[in-house]
Amino acid sequence: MLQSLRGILWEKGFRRPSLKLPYLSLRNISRKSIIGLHLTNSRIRILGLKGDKTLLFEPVEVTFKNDRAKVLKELVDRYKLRGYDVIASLSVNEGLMKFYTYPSALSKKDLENAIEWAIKRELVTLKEEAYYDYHIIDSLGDPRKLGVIAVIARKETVESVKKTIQDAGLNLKILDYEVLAIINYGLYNKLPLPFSILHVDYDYSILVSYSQSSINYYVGQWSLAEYLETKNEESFDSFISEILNLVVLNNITSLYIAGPVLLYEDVTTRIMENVPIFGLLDLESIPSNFFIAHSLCIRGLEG
Amino acid sequence: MIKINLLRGEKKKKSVSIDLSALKTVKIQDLFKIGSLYYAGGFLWLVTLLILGYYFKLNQEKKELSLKLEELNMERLKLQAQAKRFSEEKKLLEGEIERLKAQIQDIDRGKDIILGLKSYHYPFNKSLDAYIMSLPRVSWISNYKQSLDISTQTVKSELVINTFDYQSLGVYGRLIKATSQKIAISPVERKTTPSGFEYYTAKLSIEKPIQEGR
Repeated sequence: MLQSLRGILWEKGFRRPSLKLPYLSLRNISRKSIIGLHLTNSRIRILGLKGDKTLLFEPVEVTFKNDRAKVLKELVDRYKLRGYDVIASLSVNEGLMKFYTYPSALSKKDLENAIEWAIKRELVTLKEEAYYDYHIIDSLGDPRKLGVIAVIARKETVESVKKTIQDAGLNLKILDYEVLAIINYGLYNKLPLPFSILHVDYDYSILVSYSQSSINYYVGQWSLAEYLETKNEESFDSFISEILNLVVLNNITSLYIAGPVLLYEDVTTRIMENVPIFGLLDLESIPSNFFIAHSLCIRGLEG
Repeated sequence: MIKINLLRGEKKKKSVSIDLSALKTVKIQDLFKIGSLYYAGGFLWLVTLLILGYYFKLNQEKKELSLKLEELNMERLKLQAQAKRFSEEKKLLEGEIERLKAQIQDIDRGKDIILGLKSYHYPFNKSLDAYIMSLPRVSWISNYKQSLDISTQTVKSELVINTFDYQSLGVYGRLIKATSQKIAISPVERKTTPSGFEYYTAKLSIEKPIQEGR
């Protein structure tokens, strides 16, 4: 009877349900390695660090013109990086950073409500769906105040970056913001507060100032790559005077320089001759163009 | 280290989507065909299970709602207590504000008095200087008293002058008399110091309006 019932059910297309249990990948836990992915408008930089912060493989930097997703996929396949955990960053122009202060006497719930309200107000002006996240700093100089750093980005941008990375076969774990990666380097290396970092990349530059009461960042459009080709002194001079103006106006005292510019000694020397630079943020064994990728890796390893 | 992860914002908005088109459609007529009893049995079991599931879900929701209600009641009580405390604090603060206002008024009054007195300070001290500067050379003052009568605006000064020189005492008396009409000089007395020296003493009483100058 039971056999015939089973036969009938089988003929009707019923099958024994198969259960798929969730599995825990021990490979990733034991490896604890992470890849920092720095995406700019023209370059992809990949840096991998092991749990002991040594290099996982030789860092890779490639330039691209059109299809960023395709280039990234090719890189992942070529260097066999499929399945690795990745921490990437949105570029400075793809996000919006805000700094708020609140009284520390607020309860956790009230503080969260206040932050959500402030962010929602920003979102009204964006008129687009957006993703955001915030970080509360309770170690400001004034014990009566709390600092809140919020980053807002268009949903479309975040989804596009996420799709590019996931389609390439990488596991996107954290999506950070380029400006914060620069600040995090200073905080991780315990630079005395307040500090400012001038990150000069091939197509743009970012000047970030971090103090206990404020965060300011400025994006410069001077192209180092173009200067290396054309040696256009006029644009270089105007870049230097722009930075110098910012240094004077904002009363910046501890200014450090970082990024791909450090690979070109003559350009770095010219900047240092004209701008009061306090120090170079050189990554010793890692080329300077992986400054942000390195900071992202450290952020990923720190959890 | 500042920890921002924009993927967190994305997870908040995740929703579960069910593809209803994947469900198989069953016609009622089929249930009456041969072998349809199995379907009917299965269907009844399915309905029972669904009802059970729905019951558990409702039960769970009920529990959650009663918990939430309890929490909200607690919150209400807490807020009422807080409101009461705030109104008491408000009353205290209002009392304090009244007290401070009265204090400020007192201080203002005191300030006016001090400013008034300040206008007397200079001419009052000036008259003291005037009497002392013009003293004869070989003389000394054994007693000096000066008082200001605000109601009549007059300064009263009393000096006990001692000197070895009888003539100079007379000259000083005449000089001082020129500054005010109301001056009285007591008769000059002759006295002897403990060591045996003779000297002359006289008491001058002067009264003059404070705004008159020297």
